[in-house]
Amino acid sequence: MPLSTIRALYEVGIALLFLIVAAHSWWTRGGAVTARELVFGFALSQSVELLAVLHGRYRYPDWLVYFPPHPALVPLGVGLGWAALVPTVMRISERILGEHTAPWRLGVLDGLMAVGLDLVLDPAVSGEPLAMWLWRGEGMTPYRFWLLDVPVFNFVGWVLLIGVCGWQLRIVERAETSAPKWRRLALFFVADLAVAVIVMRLPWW
Amino acid sequence: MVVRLVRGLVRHARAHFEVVLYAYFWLNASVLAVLVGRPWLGAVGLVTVAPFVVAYIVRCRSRAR
Repeated sequence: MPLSTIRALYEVGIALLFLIVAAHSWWTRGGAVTARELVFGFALSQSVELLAVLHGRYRYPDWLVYFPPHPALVPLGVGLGWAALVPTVMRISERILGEHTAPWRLGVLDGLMAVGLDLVLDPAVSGEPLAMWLWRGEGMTPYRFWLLDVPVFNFVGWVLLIGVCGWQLRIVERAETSAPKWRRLALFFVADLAVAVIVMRLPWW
Repeated sequence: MVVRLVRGLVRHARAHFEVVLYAYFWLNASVLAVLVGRPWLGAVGLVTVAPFVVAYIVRCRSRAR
């Protein structure tokens, strides 16, 4: 199968998976909580991805659809993929540890499950030959530590981003029903981006 | 017989949607790994993905008892 076909199928597949996760969550958990989980997961991950690309951590060449379209830096499918993964690992963690476990513990398990998956996914699709995203290039971060031909930075990022997402979403959802949930998520979003900017500027690794 | 089996599988898949999806992500990544000439990558998931799936099954079974 030509690589261009595999790339296109991968991108379309992510969008379909997002729709399936959204529909299932809507039916089983209701519209409001589904919207909060998916919007927060998408907005945070897409913004952190944008920061990472702007800081030369990696780049996404030749995808079909980018969001925002200009400058075409981060594909829409990337944020959709993160947004689909967040509620998936959250529900599994809650079944394993119990729904009433402390949010930070559930968040840690979310992050570990996500990175477990990424240890298979990232080495397959990043770098040559599929090159859905690239770690090396002119003006890009010269990473020192690699695992399976992927920078360790990436795996640390997966644990942190998914873990923090799960932790914060649970804190918001467990608050009283009258609490301003969207406003709290917006505060978490701003705080997370501030931390992400600092992390991106660190000279690691 | 086959119809009952398929119905049972569909019922289980809906009840355990998230873990089925998680396992599918692993399968999908493994297929991609084969297509790009790194078939051994799928086996990495035996160490990094499978333990979570097993833990899920064990916890669900222990709760059902």
